[in-house]
Amino acid sequence: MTILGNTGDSDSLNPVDTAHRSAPKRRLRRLVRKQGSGTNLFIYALIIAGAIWAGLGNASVNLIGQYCIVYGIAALGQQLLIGSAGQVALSGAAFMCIGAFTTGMLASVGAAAFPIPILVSAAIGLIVGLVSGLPGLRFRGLYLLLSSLALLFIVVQVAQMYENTYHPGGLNIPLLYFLGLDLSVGRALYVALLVILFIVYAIVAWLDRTGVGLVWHTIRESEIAAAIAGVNVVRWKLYAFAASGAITSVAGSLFAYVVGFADAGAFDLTLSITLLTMVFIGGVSSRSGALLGAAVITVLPTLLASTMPGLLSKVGLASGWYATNRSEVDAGLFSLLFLIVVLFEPSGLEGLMRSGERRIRNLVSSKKNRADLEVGGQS
Amino acid sequence: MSVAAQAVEGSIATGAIYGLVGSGFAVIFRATKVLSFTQSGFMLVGAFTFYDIITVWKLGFLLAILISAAAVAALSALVYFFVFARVASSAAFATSIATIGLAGVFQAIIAIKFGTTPLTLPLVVSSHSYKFLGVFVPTVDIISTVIALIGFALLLMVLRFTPVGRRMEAVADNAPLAVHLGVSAARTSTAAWALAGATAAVAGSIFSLRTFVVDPAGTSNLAMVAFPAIILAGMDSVGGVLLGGLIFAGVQNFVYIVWGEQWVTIASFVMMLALLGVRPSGFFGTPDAVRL
Amino acid sequence: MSAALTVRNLEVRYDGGLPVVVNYDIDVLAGTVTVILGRNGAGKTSTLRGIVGFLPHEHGTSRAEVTVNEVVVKSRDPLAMSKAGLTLVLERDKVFSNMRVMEQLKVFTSDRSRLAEVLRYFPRLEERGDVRAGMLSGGERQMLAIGLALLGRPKVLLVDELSLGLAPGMIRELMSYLRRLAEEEGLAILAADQAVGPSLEVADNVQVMDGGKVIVAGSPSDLGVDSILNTYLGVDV
Repeated sequence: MTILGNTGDSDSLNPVDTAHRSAPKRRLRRLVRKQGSGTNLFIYALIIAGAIWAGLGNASVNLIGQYCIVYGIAALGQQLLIGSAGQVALSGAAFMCIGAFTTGMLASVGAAAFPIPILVSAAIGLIVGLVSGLPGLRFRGLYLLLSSLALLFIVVQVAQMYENTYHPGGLNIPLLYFLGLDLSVGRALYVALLVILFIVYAIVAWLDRTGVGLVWHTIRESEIAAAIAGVNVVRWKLYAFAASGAITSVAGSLFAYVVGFADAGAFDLTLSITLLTMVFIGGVSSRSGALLGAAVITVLPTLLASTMPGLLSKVGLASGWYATNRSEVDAGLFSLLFLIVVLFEPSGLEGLMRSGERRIRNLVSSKKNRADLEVGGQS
Repeated sequence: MSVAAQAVEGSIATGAIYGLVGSGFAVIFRATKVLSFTQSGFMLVGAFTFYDIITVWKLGFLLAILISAAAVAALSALVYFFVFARVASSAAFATSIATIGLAGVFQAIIAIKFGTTPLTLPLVVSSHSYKFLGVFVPTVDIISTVIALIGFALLLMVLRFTPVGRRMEAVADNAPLAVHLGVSAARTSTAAWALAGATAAVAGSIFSLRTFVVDPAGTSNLAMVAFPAIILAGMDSVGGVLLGGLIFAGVQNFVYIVWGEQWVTIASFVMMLALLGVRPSGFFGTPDAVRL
Repeated sequence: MSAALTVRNLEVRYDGGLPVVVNYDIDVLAGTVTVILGRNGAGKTSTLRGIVGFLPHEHGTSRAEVTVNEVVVKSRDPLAMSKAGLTLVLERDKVFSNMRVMEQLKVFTSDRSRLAEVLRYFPRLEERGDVRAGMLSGGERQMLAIGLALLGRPKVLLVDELSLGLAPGMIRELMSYLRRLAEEEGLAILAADQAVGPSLEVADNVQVMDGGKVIVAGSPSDLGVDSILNTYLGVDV
């Protein structure tokens, strides 16, 4: 199990030397010295810098930022499941669909006052997760993959039927107002989403630090050991699946706000795979990796659109070729990226950065050692 | 009565295709414990190779199916050997997930080359329907079912009677022991991927033949739609999957007639969820396939 | 005469930890039986598995120079070893449980005369030919496991815990097969076992292992059966 075993983030489990707790300087020094701290710092700095940049930019940059946040929340939901229970599900799009349609349906019955739709979406996502997760979670590995695939097809088809019957062409989503403030477009919406992302992140991080997170960590390390220790593994995996569903549903609700309407056709297997790609590219073992992955995958198409034609004309291909096949080429590249990451670089960008950091640290420390040695030789 | 009889006819024709689709999954799963989503990509490649041979080379449909099967078998073997072999033996689950990505790559390539809208096949098979006991039996249904059954029978014979098939059986039973006794797991796995690729190409081709169009979305969806049939049979049961396909197609047709088309998908996958909950190893699979 | 199997400096580790087998050397001549004796956890199974490079659990790794019939086998994996003429009979999961006896025997040879030879050693397998191997008794399963290994005409046979879970009479019978195979097939046999008495009856040479090291080696007559039992294995006679 290379991709879903312990992918390296066991530093957090290191026993803290309690004797020296009183010395904050020492703690800081230890934190800086710890392998991986540089990577974490770098990723968070990247994310924060990106977030500020997207907030200060023009309307189209704001829009990309909005999508980054929505997908970031969805990726957090997926990461919760993969990183905690070590399970991979293809139901991400199903839960996003649930969130979007819940929001649309609430609007059509006049219960659209923010944040009611988000909370209801989360609750329904949680319930659907609890009900649908059991068949796949009793066994390891492929069974959740398959049952989550079944869930995806069921949910999307039900949504499609509802849409066809009551709202042909899609469900309208009202503009986002909160306490009389217009948060429906541009920077205002961006900031509102950012706040929600922060809240979701804080909740997940808090969960992770409580006993719940500890149980999930135990299960990820070894299901057998957890079971022997008296943990009801299936039940806790089910909780992880349901929590992941709730978070992803919130992302779906926000997605609907950003797009302005909900259409079942948007929530397909490709979306599920895209969400997984985000988590795997960033690095499955950490939340910061999931956010980074979401940002990279969301920004990449825009980046490709501006660089690909030039690149292609350099290698002698007609630059129009990319323009006409853009969505297919992008989809193919994403799939290829997913394949490569899962097979050959399972800890993603975060893993690459970590090994880079290790190399730098080794270089620095060996230089230091050599210097020490030389000093020692002279004396 | 005639509605029911007609539904039985349709179920047999559809079920045979599901069976062939499922057999490819089962062959790979037995040999490598990998659930290869790339099968859907190979169906797509197979269907469009079939289309190209018929429209560009102007060959007959039987020859087109054979060439397409051979080409996709070779492609599948190469893909396994160069992309998956090194990882598959140690991390079957990761490989299963990675195959989703490869399916996407093939889908994209086909979409770039042929577009995303269905292409009409030239009329290669008579559109005549035979009337048999009050049931209309289109010629294509007879042809596609016979081809599916022949393909299925050939596959079973390869597994049952050829040395490489027997070695695959041994690897499926106890892979480490087979290696100790001099069987190269890499080689049998490559052979399994080749066989599965051939079945995928045939399934994609006859699916197109039967619907008279080569439909990218429909063909790549075929693999997903066949999943309940595979779960019904058990993921590692090559023989059982044909029966699973027939039963499942029957259920689908029943739902179609009684409740309408829009309920087919829902009923199929609710059935699959229920099966996963009640009998995850299927009705013909071995229980230890569950312990991955 | 040079040895059919030569192993030098075998070292086995799990998960990058301390070695569980260190500096293990052995020579086994064609036509002879050597038995590694030792308690549970002495390193016997790790030694045999280390020689063929079959260490799937806990990221095991092994290093050694292995020579089979005067050919150095560079690649440390079971397939390469099997091609070089060395086959390990595993301790567990040593047969194909869902396949019938004759069915699985036929998978590993296309040579009918070889199959007949193997069945001459183990006539019981022919009698039970249509039975799924999972239904066989422990002794029959051992016979099938050895029979499967013999089909490829190996020069060296490694046998892990032949006696595991068997009745004393059956252990003696199977041990006598090892002797016969060594003599009639000219096989070099290296077995690891806990059944000291029956092993000493058939062994030309004995190694006693403890803590991953060979603590004493020699022929049973040189060492003396009682002293092996007493001194090295801590068994009261």
